[in-house]
Amino acid sequence: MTNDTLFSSIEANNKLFKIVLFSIGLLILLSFVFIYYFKLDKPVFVEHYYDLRSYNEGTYHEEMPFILRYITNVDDSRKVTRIGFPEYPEAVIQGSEDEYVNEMIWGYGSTNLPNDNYGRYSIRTVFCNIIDLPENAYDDSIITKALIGFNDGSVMQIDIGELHLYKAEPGGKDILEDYYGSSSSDGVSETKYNVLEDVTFESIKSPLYSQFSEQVILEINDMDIIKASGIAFESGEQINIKSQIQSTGNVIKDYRIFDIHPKLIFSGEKGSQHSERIYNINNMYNNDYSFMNLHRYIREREGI
Amino acid sequence: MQDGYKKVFWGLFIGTFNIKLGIITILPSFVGWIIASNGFSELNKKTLVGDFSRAYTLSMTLIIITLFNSLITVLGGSQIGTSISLSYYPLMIMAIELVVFHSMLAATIDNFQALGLVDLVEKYIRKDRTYIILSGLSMLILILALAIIDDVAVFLAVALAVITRVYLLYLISSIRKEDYEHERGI
Repeated sequence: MTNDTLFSSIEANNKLFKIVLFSIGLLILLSFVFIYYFKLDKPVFVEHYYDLRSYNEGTYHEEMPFILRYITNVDDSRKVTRIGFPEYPEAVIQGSEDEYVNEMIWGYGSTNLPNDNYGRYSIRTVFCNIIDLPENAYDDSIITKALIGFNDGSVMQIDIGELHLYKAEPGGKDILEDYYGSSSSDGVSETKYNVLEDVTFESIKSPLYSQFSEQVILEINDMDIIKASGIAFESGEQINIKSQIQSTGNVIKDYRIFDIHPKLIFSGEKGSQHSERIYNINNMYNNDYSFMNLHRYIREREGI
Repeated sequence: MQDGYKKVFWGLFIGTFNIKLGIITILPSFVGWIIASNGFSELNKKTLVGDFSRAYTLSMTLIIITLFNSLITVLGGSQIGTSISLSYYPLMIMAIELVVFHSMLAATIDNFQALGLVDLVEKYIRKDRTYIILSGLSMLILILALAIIDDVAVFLAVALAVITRVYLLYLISSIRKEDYEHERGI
């Protein structure tokens, strides 16, 4: 190589060096813009629609666990530690993001939570448990607001959706006996029952079910639940209630979390009415989250 | 000249592989930069035509920055660590290092050229180019990893940063050998 070629090679390196430094500087600026654009001012709680069963005998109240899910910035190091219901200020509710608390309350392993980072967003789950409520709140009340307290002292009041509290029906004559239940991570749940006496299925009764009929395919013995009205079942037969969650393509609807306990109304001999609650319609562990979907969801929610 | 390169090598080595005993870092980063800048000062004194002064000045700056950072880490605790701007600290260090070592390589190449060692000039032009590209890539991936805090991206960023450092150390030690051979008249 001649001196000239060498010199131009050295110059080429110097140029490359400057280009690299400049590009890195530019990229850092762009990434700041990117981070700033996607930054949330405050956490966004999704909408929750639950049927919560309360059971009490005298002064004993059954625990009422539920989860609250929220979206926040990936670098938000806070955790939720306190929950309150502004509609029932004397209510006592436990709230914790610690999974061990969840296992103690729910009993089964709560793995498969979609808690994770998605781009600049992070999905968090708060495990809540209603310890005490005023007596009138236990039956037929709807809670729509919550006060959330974080471990750094910050507090926010949010609309959480609708928590429908209902009193467990007193045990009457059993017309169905459940013997099998399963649910899988792709949103399909089944519960199987033995029919104990001749009954006819009448209808499904649930204040929440109609809001989710688009997302929930519910079948009784492979017949759509609405169309199955009037079908009779003989004693000794088996009934399979199968529910399947499907997406609607609309993030606002898909990101609602629900756990519904609809009543199935049967009429028995001599026109008697029986109801059976089913508990396998929920999407709490579904994971359809992605960075872009979350961003779309937040923009629609915040009405930007 | 050899001694200068030796000090730069060990300074960079200590700066990279901070030797720790539990919480106490026996040889923290800034000690490494003190040794390295000492090396650049010697190189600048004994140099033929190559200019090591920029490498020297910037390595002194790195002493101050890394010392400051060590103090903050020891005193500040976890709250400071989550601030967004502070997580860009490694990136800033990497950028300054690129300037330091490219300028060191450029000065080295100038010296070889003045001595008429054409082969070495060609060889180290190529290696300088490789270093610039490696360093640029690892900074790029680090920026991505900081924006989208994804396990894969972070892993790649760390891996590439380590590879770049190791390559640089190899480079410096190889220059030291050339220098040695040259001074021995080979």
